[in-house]
Amino acid sequence: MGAVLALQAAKDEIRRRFPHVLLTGQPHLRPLAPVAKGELEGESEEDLRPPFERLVGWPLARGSCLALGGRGATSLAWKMMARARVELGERVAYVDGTRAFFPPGASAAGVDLKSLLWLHCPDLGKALRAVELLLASRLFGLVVFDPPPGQANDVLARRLSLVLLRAPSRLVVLERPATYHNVRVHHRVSVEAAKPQWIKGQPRCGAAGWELLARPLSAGGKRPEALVQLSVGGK
Amino acid sequence: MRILCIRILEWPFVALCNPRGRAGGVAAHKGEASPEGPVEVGLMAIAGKKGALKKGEIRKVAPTHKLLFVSEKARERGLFPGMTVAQARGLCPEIEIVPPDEGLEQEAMTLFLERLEQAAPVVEDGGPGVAYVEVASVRELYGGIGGIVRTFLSLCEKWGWPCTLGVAGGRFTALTAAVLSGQGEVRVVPEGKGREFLAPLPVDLLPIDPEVRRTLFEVGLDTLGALAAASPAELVARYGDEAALWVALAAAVDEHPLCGHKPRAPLTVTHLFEFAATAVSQLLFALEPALSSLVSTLRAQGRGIYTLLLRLHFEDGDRPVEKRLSLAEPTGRVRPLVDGLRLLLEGGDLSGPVSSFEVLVFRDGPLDGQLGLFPERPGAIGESGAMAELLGRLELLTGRGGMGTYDLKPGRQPEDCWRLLPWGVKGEKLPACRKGVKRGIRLLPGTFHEGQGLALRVLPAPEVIEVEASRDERPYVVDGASVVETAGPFQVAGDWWRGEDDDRFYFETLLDDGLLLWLFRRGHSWFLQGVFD
Repeated sequence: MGAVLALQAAKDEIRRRFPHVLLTGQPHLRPLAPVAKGELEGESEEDLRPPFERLVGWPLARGSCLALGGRGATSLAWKMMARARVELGERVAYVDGTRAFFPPGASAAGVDLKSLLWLHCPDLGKALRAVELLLASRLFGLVVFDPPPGQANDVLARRLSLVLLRAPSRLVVLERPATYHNVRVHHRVSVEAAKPQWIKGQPRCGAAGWELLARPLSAGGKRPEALVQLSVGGK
Repeated sequence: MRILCIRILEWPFVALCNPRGRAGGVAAHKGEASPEGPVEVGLMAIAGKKGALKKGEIRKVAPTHKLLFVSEKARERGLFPGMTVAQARGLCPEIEIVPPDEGLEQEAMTLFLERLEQAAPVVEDGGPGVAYVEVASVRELYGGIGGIVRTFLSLCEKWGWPCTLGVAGGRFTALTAAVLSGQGEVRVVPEGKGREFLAPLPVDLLPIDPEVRRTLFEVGLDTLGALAAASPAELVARYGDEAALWVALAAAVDEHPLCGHKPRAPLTVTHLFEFAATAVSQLLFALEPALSSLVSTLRAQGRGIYTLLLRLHFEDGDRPVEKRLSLAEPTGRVRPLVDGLRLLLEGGDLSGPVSSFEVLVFRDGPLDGQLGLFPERPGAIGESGAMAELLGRLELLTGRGGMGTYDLKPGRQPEDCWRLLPWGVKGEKLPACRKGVKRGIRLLPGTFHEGQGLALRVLPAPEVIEVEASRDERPYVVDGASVVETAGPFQVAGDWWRGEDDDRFYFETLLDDGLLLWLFRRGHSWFLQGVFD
């Protein structure tokens, strides 16, 4: 009986320390509950991550899908690409459905271009298939999907969810209106970039200072909502 | 097992200087003297882009190209691979620099192997300019090792190829013996003495990544003898499965018999439908077992499919339709081939009921070696093989030019600042993980606060946009929306010396609905280049 209690205590301790890992069943699934407002304001002792990292669930758990929406989503995705490479040592792939990727800007944001696999798939079906191949290959630790406009094929989208359940990879989707459905998203974050500030002498593509507001969104709108605001100062 | 290694010195130059190819081969087959004399490699270097020359193609060497190979005489004059052509010409004006031609080199290699096969039945291709000959089968014919060596030396001399020879119990030992010999010399490693022969030699001789070699030096494994004496299990735990191969090579263990070079008949499978196939799915259903049999035949030889041809015959006797599938790397799996053919077949209509089809393997190549007893996962052929396979499948989806890695380059206009390269050209190296970030339980050293500004999403090409500008040419209404704030202009000059008037004045413009645009003015026209996001 004592051993059982000790085991339970150890499990509780681990669960408390690693909130993004489920101990039983499917370790690749992250819990869906977003961070509550009170939790974000008063950081717990164990999790010393900044609020923004906690909100977006960084570092993303393997097998998880994060949907980023709103203005500033691309900026956040680029930073994630840079950090996945440097901190997690993962290969990164970018499936570009709109051909909007700007390599000099990504490089300035810290993305390692030499190790980034970029794919251009203007057809949504083919793009989803490419994402599926990348995830299933297990060779890329982070796949960022910038979907092309159009309605996703339900079958392909569901297949993508299934692949994600099995693959030890991470998927970040830049959500655009009415393009992307039926993929099991573990976490959905809306970003809002506002009040750009310019600093003189910056390169021409540098809206150098910006504020970023992020809120986790739930599918049904029932979960508690948190709002994190960051003032990000450029150099 | 005894193996004779024949290594042609300065192979790339010999291959280029000795290009009579088929003529020489035919003459040799007839037992005639070779039409060409001994190859004299003078002050030469090879520079430029790799690849086979196409018919009629003339490839030039530019001053910025780097030297790929340098002849011995050129090396004595201070030239080395990696120098630019301009630097080489500066040091040695009379040097002859030619572009590479892999097609010609391949042809010369085939000729080399064909000629050796006249003298011995089992000859294996050992890579550029190297061949292995099974000695045991011809020992009686030539009167022992001495006779064999003399025969091959005289043959190479007759064909005009400067060479070195090595005889040992395995491929690596024989090649090492040949490398250590001088021109026209032979080094024979006695039977059972391979390990002793290799022991004092440096680990540089092994085909290892320079970084790994450096770490081997650091832990004291600087000779092949030390490596052979090390625990394979520990090395495998540290460096992966490949380390087991290094230990085997260093210990002169090579138990695989030589694989003859004889050209194989083209592999083909024909299928006759009882009832003509009218749908792509029916075709694919029949194609899968056909491909499976081809793949398993090749896999048994350690080879995979590069290129295959599907020929469809129609019931109404129309001209057969051919579909050609080419992969970036050879594959030993059926699934990518089926996927590729599905894409090809779904791309075009079947013009009628298909009565039969043929599948021909046009080109095959060696698969990556499998060092463990079992593959990593069913069907896997090592990470590099899996990557090549993945890239091949993705290329079918994106088409050529739709995939790769970006490389920045100096450019005047924003759209000229990068180029797309094939994956792996620049070489990727995974950085080590920073400590304590795996689960995010510690404060991260770099956070999302470290901003460099908003990301810029560009349009594939600048689009004309309606802008009302003030008298000082600053936008105040863009596409019907009021401008809240504007930064700029940032001027980018065009190539005026070429007569291209492409001066652009860039503005970062914030609209009242929160959109942050990247606009430019050229003359009196306004263009939208991108959106900050």
